[in-house]
Amino acid sequence: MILVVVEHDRGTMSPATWEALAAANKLGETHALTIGKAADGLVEQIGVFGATTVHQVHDDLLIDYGPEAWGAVVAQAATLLSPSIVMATGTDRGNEVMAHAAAILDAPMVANVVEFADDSLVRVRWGGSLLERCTLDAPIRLLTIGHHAFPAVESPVTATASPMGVELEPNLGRTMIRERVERAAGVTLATAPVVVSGGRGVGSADGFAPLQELATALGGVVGCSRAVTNNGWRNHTDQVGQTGTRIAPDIYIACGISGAIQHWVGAMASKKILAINIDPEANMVTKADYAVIGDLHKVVPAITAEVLRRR
Amino acid sequence: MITLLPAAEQVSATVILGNGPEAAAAVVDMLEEIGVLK
Repeated sequence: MILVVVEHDRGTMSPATWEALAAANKLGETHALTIGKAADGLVEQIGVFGATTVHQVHDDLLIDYGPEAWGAVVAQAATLLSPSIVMATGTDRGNEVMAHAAAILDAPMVANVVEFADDSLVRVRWGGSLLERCTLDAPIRLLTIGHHAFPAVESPVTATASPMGVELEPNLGRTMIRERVERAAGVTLATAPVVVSGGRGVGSADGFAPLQELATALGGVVGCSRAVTNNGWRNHTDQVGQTGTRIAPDIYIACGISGAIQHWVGAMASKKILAINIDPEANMVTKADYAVIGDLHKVVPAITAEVLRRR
Repeated sequence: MITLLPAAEQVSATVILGNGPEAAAAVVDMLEEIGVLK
């Protein structure tokens, strides 16, 4: 049996969990683990992705996300249920929780798996610039799934809820969410279906106005590279990359961005990438799905005009 | 056990939609094709 740790935020399941459930379902009988009462309503949605049993854990320490408490729950569930694999999302939270569980169980863990072979795994390292094939030799194999490595294929079954008791020491509540501050209303950089991003080639803070117009026309948001925030043209909250936000939009439109590895790491999960650049040899151009070679100051307004014309 | 995989030869598969503002129509065609612009 494979046990999938359901990542959720106050009862809203992350799409990455759909992918983890679908990946697990390809490997064998799948159960899910939901942590906290807020996730009790997810049973039906979990069943859509093929998990037959949903183990539900409740505790006063689990009213919101806390990595130590969640990790302890996963470790206890692994001991109680003896799955062959415990799988979680390859997100910040998923990796954090599994790292805690692995430490408690004194077991190895493989993060960001993108491929299962007969007796080995392939995992992504160094922000996607390295693939490692590894074997995981342990009684219970702990792993997380890389972003968009497995499609969220539906395999509907009727899932059954199964309450599970755990014992949590009060000190596991040392790190918990106590307060939430809304940064921005509406679509955010992390969740936008379209991100129009600018790099050094934009030239100035004012130069982002045409990018904003295109983003608005497409129902998206504006992002930028680190060179832009270093120059003070945009806020750090707009930065895409290893030290900014990692995004996964339907399309990423990179304007005047060279495509340094640190930036690519943040954008590589995009379903499609369009690069607009005067340099046909720029990394972003050669790695993108599509490219337009030209001056972004002329190309971007022309695209916006064409979008508006067709509407 | 960990094995480093040799990197595959990097061959760009980028589809060049055009040069300059004249490429705008091809870009919007692509946006329609992938469902971003409905």
